[in-house]
Amino acid sequence: MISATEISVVTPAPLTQRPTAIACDGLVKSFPIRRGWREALRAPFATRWQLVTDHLSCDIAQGELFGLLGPNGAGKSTLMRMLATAVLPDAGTATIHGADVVSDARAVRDMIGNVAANERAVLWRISARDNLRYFAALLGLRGAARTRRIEEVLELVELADTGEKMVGEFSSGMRQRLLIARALLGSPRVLLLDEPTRSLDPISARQFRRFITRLIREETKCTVLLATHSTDEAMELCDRIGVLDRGRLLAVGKPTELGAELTRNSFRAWLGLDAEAALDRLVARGVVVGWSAGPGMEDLFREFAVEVTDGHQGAAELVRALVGAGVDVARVERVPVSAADIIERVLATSSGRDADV
Amino acid sequence: MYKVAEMMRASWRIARSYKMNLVFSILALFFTTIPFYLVAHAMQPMMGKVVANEGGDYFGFVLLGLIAISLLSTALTSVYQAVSGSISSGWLEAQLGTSTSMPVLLLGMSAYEFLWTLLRVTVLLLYGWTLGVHVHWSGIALGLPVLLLLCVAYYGLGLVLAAMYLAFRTIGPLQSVIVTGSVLLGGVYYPTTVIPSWIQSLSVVVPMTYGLRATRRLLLDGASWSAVQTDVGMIAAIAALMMMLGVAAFQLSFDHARRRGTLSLY
Repeated sequence: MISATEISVVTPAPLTQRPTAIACDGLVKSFPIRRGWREALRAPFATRWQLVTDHLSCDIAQGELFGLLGPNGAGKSTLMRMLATAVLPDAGTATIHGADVVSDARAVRDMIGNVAANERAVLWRISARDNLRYFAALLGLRGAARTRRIEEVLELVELADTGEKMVGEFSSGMRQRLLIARALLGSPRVLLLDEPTRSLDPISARQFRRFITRLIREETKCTVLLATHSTDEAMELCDRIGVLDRGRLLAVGKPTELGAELTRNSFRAWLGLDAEAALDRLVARGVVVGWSAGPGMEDLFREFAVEVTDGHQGAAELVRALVGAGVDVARVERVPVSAADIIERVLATSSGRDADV
Repeated sequence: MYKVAEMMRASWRIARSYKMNLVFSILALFFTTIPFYLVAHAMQPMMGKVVANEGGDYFGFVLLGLIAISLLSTALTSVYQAVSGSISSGWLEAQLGTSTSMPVLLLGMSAYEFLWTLLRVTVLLLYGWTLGVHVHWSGIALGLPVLLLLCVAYYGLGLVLAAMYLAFRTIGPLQSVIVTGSVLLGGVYYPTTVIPSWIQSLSVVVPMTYGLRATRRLLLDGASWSAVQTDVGMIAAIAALMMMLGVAAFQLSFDHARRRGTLSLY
């Protein structure tokens, strides 16, 4: 009964008052599609392309923790890698603190710390300290400054006691923290975190999120772009979330706003068992957009999912109409939105719009 | 140089963590040389005249061939192996995320292998000397730069292999073709003068031909600079050409990988 197409997609939120750290304007990226033998033999030089980033624009303010949320293949990692200068965009521009990722790649690299999704991107046969020493050299750190910075970041990620241990003997969580330590070595202004909890078990992932919150909020205070397909992670950590699918940024907003906006007309009502006929009449009158019976049953009341037209105003009108129709109303509450619902609803809304077009 | 030194230090620490491998790679030199020593001595009556221009001692001749092959292998494969090994783990992309320039990264990733090979061939040369090879130590000052030029030439080809791997994720049979071609046509086990004339013409495009001949004449025959300057000139020209080819191929391939997003795909 609840139509996804009627839920409005949130438009990009206005920038905060803080200056922009990351600015993307119309970024486009396509990758060639791998072909089977038959196709390759039939047309050896033909190439089919898959659009991975589709005119993506967004601005992220300094000090903001911005989450990129989307299913696998949404284009999160490609965007991160374009910002990290590892992938060249086909069109559009992206800047980090004003430096262009294509024409001023070296300056960009000086400003970013990139935490790779792959925990194998460290040297496993040497210690954490030696790994950091290697990277400190590549970042141009030398002598006492290098030693001091290595100790600082090891302290930050709580690996100071295990700094001499071979990385191969680390747990996944420790290796992730080492990757963060490595990214922090150069005191980056922008931290790119690509699925940092992908290989962690739920408990380690929760600990890691607490660690990230403390690290970013209290210690480094740098701008963070976090790519994840864990909705809980995005909800828990981020100031704003961008929902990405098939290369398009479908919605941007604060986690609470995003949920509220997408579910502003969705209510859960506990009504008398004879409410169905009354709800049908309210649909005909236009007070209710749609309804469905929910699974809940409490004494003489049953749970209904009801979609109204105008948020709380619509809910108030719903209550008035139901009471007027003689239906018992135990309670009406806004549907608490889960993070997974947000993605589903945004994607469904987008698909509906596409279908309409 | 500081960055390269730090990268070498890390490579050394990784290498020494494989203790047995480290020990065996040196010990193997002593055992693998013995068959060559015995066979070379058996063939000395026949080959002595053939290699007269390059010292006249066939075991010394082969020993320098083995040294050149070791250097060739390292020069050819060190970059390619460093690149291929670090792509799948994301290590290459992580390093490229720093502002360190590409030439420094490539040099740093292969420098340890070069030093280690240099140490091994030095041990091999000293071992050969103890087995009776007459080395003209005065020729070292010129012989080493010639071997270095030989390395540069094959390093250029190594960059081409790395470029191929970046672009296609395979180098096909190219490495085998280069190594086998250099061994067969470059005069590693026999002088190029003994191979059939129609194949001999191919040896003029093999860097090993010039580098190895010049080194042998300097170290085994005590030849003067003027006697080897043609060969040295040729190897220098080939080295410059190969490096230009390698750098251009790698740059093209690297740009292609950045456009295709394949720097960390495997």
